[in-house]
Amino acid sequence: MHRRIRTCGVLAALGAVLLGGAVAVADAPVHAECAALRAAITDLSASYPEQYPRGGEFLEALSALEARLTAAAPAQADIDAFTELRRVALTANPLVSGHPMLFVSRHQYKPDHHNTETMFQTGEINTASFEGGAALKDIDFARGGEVRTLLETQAGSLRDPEVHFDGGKIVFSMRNSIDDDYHICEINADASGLRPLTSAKGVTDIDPLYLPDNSIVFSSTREPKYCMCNRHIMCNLFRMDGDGANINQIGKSTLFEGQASLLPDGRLLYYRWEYVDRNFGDAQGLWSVFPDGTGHAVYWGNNTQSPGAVINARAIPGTEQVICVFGSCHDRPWGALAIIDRRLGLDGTAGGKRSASVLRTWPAYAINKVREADQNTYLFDDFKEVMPKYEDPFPLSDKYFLCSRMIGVGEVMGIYLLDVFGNEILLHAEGASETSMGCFDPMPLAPTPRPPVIPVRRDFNNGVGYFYIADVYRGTHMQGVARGAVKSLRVVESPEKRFWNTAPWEGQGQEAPAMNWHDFSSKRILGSVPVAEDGSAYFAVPSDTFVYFQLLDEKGMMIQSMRSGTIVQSGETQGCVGCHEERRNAAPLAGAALPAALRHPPDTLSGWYGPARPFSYLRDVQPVFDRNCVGCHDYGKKAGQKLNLAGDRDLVFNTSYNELWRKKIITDVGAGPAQIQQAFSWGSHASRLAEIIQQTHNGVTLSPEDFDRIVTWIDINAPYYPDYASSYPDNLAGRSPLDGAEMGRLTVLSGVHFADRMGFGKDQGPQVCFDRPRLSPCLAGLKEKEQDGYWEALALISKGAENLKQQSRGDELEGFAACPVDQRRQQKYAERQSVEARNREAVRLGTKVYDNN
Amino acid sequence: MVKQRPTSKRSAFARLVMAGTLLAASVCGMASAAEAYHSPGALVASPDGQTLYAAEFTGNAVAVINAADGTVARSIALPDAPGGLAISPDGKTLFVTGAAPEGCVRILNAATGEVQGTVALGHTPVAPVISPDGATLFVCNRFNDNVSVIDVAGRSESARISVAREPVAAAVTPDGKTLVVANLVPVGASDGDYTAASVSLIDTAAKNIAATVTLPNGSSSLRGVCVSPDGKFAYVTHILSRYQLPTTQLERGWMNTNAVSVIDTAQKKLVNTVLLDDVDLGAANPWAVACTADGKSLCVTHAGTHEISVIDRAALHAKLDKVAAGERVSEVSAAAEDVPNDLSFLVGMRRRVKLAGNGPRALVLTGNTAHAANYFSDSIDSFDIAADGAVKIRSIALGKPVAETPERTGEKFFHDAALCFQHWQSCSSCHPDARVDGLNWDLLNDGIGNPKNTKSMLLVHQTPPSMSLGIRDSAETAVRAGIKFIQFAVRPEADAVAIDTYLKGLKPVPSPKLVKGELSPGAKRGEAVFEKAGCVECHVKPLFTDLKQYDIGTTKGLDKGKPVDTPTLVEVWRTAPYLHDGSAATIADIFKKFNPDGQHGNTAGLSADEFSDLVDYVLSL
Repeated sequence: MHRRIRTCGVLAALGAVLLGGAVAVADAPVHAECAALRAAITDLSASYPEQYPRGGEFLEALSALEARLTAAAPAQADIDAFTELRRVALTANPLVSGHPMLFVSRHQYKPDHHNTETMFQTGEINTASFEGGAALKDIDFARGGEVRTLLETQAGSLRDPEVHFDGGKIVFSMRNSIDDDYHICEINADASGLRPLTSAKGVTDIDPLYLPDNSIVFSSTREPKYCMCNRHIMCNLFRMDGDGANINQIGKSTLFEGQASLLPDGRLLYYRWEYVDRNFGDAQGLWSVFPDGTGHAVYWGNNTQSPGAVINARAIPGTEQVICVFGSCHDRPWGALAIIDRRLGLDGTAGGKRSASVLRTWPAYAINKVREADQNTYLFDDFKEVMPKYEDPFPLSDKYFLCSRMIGVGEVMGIYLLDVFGNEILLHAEGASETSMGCFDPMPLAPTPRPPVIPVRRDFNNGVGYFYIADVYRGTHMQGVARGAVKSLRVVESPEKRFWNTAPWEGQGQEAPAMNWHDFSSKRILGSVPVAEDGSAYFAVPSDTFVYFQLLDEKGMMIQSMRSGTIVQSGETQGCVGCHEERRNAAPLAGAALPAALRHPPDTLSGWYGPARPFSYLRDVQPVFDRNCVGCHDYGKKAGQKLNLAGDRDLVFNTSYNELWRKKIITDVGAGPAQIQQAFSWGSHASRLAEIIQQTHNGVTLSPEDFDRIVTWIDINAPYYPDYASSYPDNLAGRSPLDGAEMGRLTVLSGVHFADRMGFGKDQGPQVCFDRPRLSPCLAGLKEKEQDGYWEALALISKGAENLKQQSRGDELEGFAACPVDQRRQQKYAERQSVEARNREAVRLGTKVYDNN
Repeated sequence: MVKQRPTSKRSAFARLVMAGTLLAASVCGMASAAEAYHSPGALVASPDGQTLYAAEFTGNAVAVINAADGTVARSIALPDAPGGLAISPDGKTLFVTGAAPEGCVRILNAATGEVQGTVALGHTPVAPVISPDGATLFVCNRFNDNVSVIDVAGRSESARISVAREPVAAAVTPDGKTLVVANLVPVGASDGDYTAASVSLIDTAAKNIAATVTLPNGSSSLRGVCVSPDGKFAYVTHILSRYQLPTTQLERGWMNTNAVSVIDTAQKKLVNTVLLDDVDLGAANPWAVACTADGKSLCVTHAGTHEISVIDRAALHAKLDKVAAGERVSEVSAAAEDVPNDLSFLVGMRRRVKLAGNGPRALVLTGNTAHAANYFSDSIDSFDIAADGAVKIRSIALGKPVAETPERTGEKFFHDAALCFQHWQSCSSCHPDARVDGLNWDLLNDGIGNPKNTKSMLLVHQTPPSMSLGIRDSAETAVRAGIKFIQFAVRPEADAVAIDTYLKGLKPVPSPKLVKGELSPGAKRGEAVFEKAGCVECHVKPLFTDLKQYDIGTTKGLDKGKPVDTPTLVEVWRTAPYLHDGSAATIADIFKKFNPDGQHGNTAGLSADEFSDLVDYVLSL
């Protein structure tokens, strides 16, 4: 549908309302605004002499106005004239008016927990926040700001357009109603030929992007998994042929991969939210990857305390810079805009001070929020304070940028034009009332240069990939690590979370269900490989598996650990220089012709005391305490009062697990800070427990395996549960075998407010012993005080024990069955995996399969 | 390809040699059709900056250009291809080398172009440098590995000084005392822990080597030298190869980085080596280097990425001084030894200026104007390095546009890093002039962990299979594999065909061991030994390979027992080190060190003289 609306009237009115005040009465701001305009006009005249012929005329008019504006009391008419002159002079920029400008009109997304929460997928926790009403439009400044509607929907929504390199078509995501899913569609630039490219039910496909070979990358919930700190469905990067065939997954990080754009060298730039042994709030930064999913690498901001969220990035043409949004964790995906140059640094701060890599921000003062504080302080929502809010930056050149920005009325967004000279003007708004639609995703509806195609360097055989490291001792945080100290490298998987329940355990965030004391992830040890004397290692890793690496010494104790994950594609070989070496380093030439580890075939991973499996504390660690320690360290024993290592399961974890974390007998990073941690700073090397078991303790010497089990557990950040599925989803923390009513009764009887104690921060010891109910601490003294109450309470706890016998809650996986809701989720997960497998086979065979096959 | 009608083995070979002599008129060995191209490879300016002189390496001429209006005033025809150009301090005399196996330098009247004298020199004279007092001319005899010292007035050669290997660029200090000579490639076996080319510093008075400065591990393809106006520092451009890691990726200069090394001329020591690349964008094939007369700017041309780096020289040295004093100048460089790996060292003190032409290999600065000669676009680009804002390039065409033959296109692509992901390297980065960088590389085509010595591209299409273990069935396959797995690029098939055409058209340079184009007496005797020792069974003439693979007992480690492909011996004098892993520094070493059981020819039974003659013969091919 084409509708032509002249918006000049609206704009002029808005201008008067919103920008009339922009030209201040005082001298300095007036001079600054005039200087900014003058600079832009001069630049445009020099850069585009043929397409910008009126520069001289504009400058004359500006000079005349400036004289009047700097007078003591400038007339409103002169202020208006300046505003209009600026609008005319800046929109005459051929980059602005040389082509129509595409945009989306819709309301801002409703608030939710995280900046990734904009999908409101069918059948998920926040579906009801979906709001219909959107249009794909363009505006033509060469025709006085004429607006054309290409497509609109009242009940549905549309989002994330990208224009094809030839300028002839647009790819975007659309959802027809709250009962529908977002899918990738295409439409011609003349608004004809609307066609869907994806159509799978119950998945969200957003953020599509044309690639140089005409395939399309997008973000999707096709691997249905959830954030580990809450209950929201997450996206990974997928790629498909330009006609929608052979959709296959190219990213496998455990939370969210979004807003992919192209770098001039043909790689993708995207943001990634994922955390391994890390807090949930500031682990969201920019990453790069090759279009085939190989070579995932940190781009900027992975270890930046503030801004908490670095998202929405695009490369600035002709430069090595990108423009992006500096946002917050608990906010919409907006915030300040920033230009960064990663040649000057890879994070917001360096050495405690703001990094030179942050070149500038809009608003300007927001740059001061790029900072570092005590590493246990959370700054990840600092950018919520920034006003106005910006998003969707689009560089027209290295000097002129489009974006979406608040117009100053509620949450309404308009299209703004920014430049490096200091000009910032509203180009278009849909209206000036609080309920007006906003404008998002402004971009020229025009041809753009096509970056080079990069050859595929993986296969689709679902085999292994390979990593090699030239020298593990090269790293920014390897102080105090003597050469030769590292003997092996352990590969650990951080599996995705496929399930969620309602009642959480409050770790650093909401663990729904409970997994660990403080941080979120389950761990699966894949195995260890030797590290050569020269620091090199070379090993095979299963493809499509989100893994991280740890360096171990001759005792098997962790020296350093990655707190972020990586993947390798089938058939890919990825080289690393060291263990978090400075990323602006080329690979240094060591003193040898070839790293020692490369002289032999790659090492393989062979599990840990058995085949690779999700780590269960109860199965793999507690027996060590049972064998060696609980003789003294038990309920009713003197040593047990100091530290109780009994295995009795309590409401969420078990006695020993609670004691070791709560009493800080282990020193682990938990859901740790943004900053990279120094070698030896956490884990077994820093833990009292490890210190004790390295000696003979009261006549007890641990066997090598028992020792190894303890230190390994500490070093993988002391997890408890092996899986995210719950069999008691509605009970406390998703793990209690007693329901709400039963726990309520137990509360009344014992006086212990269990429901208030579901978190590490409550700092409460175990209250219940399901394995030996009479030993339950919450019963202490009750027998003397109130016999009936005691027996009833004991009976409740015993019932809980009985429940656990009938229905495991997952402390160990053997005999565990997930609740029906989780079983359905697992079934959906498996179905989507089989579609993925089918699609990969099509790629292998050279055939084509589609969503609607 | 030269057709063979062997009547005897010797005359067939002689034919090949003569064909090579006729056709190897230029360093690159262009086919005669390409004489239509100018290929400007050297550039000098008159002292007043008004006139530019460009030596046309395939145009066989010197173009005289009016710098002010960019017109080509005239063209001085030359009897053969020039290899370099110098101008006397008074601007009246041009010194143009004739880059032939029996080369020379011609002394021309700069105003008229008239040849006033000729001095016979060695094999492929290049890079003439005039002393500041105009009395002495130094010329590099590229394939003799030495430098001629010429008395200008007497028009006679007074000395030859041996340098390391293939001197291709030189510069003299303003006090005339030190000649700084860049040796293109490393010398010696490449399978050890350290392989790097060196810079020879010549004491011009004593006419000997004052010092040899070895560059960082992996340095090769040295192309340009200049000396700062105050004489304190010499700057040498080169590639810094990270040859020790498998070629799995290109990001962060995983394979080749591009550098300028700074040498203290008084101490005759390396100050440091600075990378010219950016973190995510290579600046491939640094070539010509020059300082402005005021010393403020150091300019480097990038022949692979068609741009010029303009570096703030004071800022560069200030940062180098700080880091040398132990100051942590950035998160990347805490100590001087970090600098050669620092891809962000020059940020803030260097501009990359894109040129209009393709293949800038020569540079001259007149005041603040840079003039760069573009080898493949036959043009000269000029711009003001001091101007603010957008750079305006003025392009001068050296002649009418000539349709690009497939061979020329292929040569252009071979040297073009725009084909490469993030522009780190062109094919020529490991194969300078389509030959060898003298380093080992661990390509993935035959597995990881078994590096191989770089092979020359000469005759690869005529001698399948390719690679030391014969892993690529043909050179065509290898070219396409190189584009995909080394450049990480997707290119149209036509581009690969062009590169094939270029490589097929390469002609061998006659060996410096030949005497007036003929085998020396020792080499003639050696030819008989070549038969007697059985070499001729696998190294079958005329290509000196039977195209088959044999286990000659040299493969080890992960390659143990694998047979190696018989390489051609044509131009083998040029492609040291030898054997698949570069373990043999010399031809003699192949047999003295690596042939204990006689699996590689029956050489143990040869007398010392026979052996010496055999080596002479092989090096004459």
